[in-house]
Amino acid sequence: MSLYGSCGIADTVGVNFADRDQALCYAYDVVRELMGCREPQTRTWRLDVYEDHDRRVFEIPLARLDETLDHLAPRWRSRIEDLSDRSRALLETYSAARITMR
Amino acid sequence: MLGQASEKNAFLSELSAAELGALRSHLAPPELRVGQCLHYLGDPVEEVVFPNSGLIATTMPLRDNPGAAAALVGRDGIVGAFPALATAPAASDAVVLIGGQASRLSAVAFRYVLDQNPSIRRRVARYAYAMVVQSQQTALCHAAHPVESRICRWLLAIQGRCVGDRVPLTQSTLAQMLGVRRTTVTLVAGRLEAAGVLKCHRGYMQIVNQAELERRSCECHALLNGYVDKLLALAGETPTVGEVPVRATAPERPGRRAI
Repeated sequence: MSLYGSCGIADTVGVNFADRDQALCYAYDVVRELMGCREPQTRTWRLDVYEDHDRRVFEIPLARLDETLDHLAPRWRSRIEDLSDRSRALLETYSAARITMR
Repeated sequence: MLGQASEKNAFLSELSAAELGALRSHLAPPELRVGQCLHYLGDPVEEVVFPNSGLIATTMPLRDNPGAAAALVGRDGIVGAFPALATAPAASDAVVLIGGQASRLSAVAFRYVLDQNPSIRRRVARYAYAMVVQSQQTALCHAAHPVESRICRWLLAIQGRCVGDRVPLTQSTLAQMLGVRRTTVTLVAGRLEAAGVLKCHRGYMQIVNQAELERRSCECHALLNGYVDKLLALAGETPTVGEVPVRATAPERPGRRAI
């Protein structure tokens, strides 16, 4: 699994699962643990799940599982999720640009 | 030598020569092995352990997983004092996370010595209470604080009970203590490493920037240390006759009569 916010962090060890459904359940648990008690700060993150360390099988934007947004009407929630995705892309671009400037 | 080893445990170090003498003949020096369980939830506590080094966690096991840690005990504390004193079954497992040396005595001898020595009993009560306070703070921390702050807090708590800047635990063990997935700990540790706070190695983590780790930790670490330091500083005080405090009249609350 890899976590993307302003930079990418990878779990290079990995976890073995019998099938993709189990891997997805585990990934959802990881997302909830990462988000818990700091949802606004982590809403722009994304967790990617890879099979055999090279093939990306799931992309999980953390905003999608943010329970603090459950009270919103679907279109507002969708806008916040979209905004979170754009913010992450901007942060990643900014981070990449900073690296090239060093 | 046993006499020198027992001085490394904070509780035993505080005892006067007479108090230590009362205990010394009952003390034996065991080695603490990683993974050893000193007592299990629900079982009678046969021995009280005074760690001189190493680290023990009291954990609350669940039906389908080992559960999370409620408190840590190193050379700063005592394992099994409360249930041994009360002749009560253990309220948790006590698992050795980091090996080391300790002094131990049987629960029967422990109760006998405390019955004969009220001053030791009072000190033990404060150390046992410090564990209760730690468990309370941990429960609040688990409920209210994000996982990254909690990880920083536990790293500080473990490093404070070890020598040097190394935390000799695997990420799997740390995940188990916190009741989270190993991947969660790995990703958080990766973020801390990217920020220059930690260096992750196989089998241990090295704290590189202590000040930043403290800044990222939740308030529980500082609160707990401050409270326990004050609590244990009182351990040497002996109440004297004539100084029993008089309770002031409590203000009346709605629905309740003033006492």
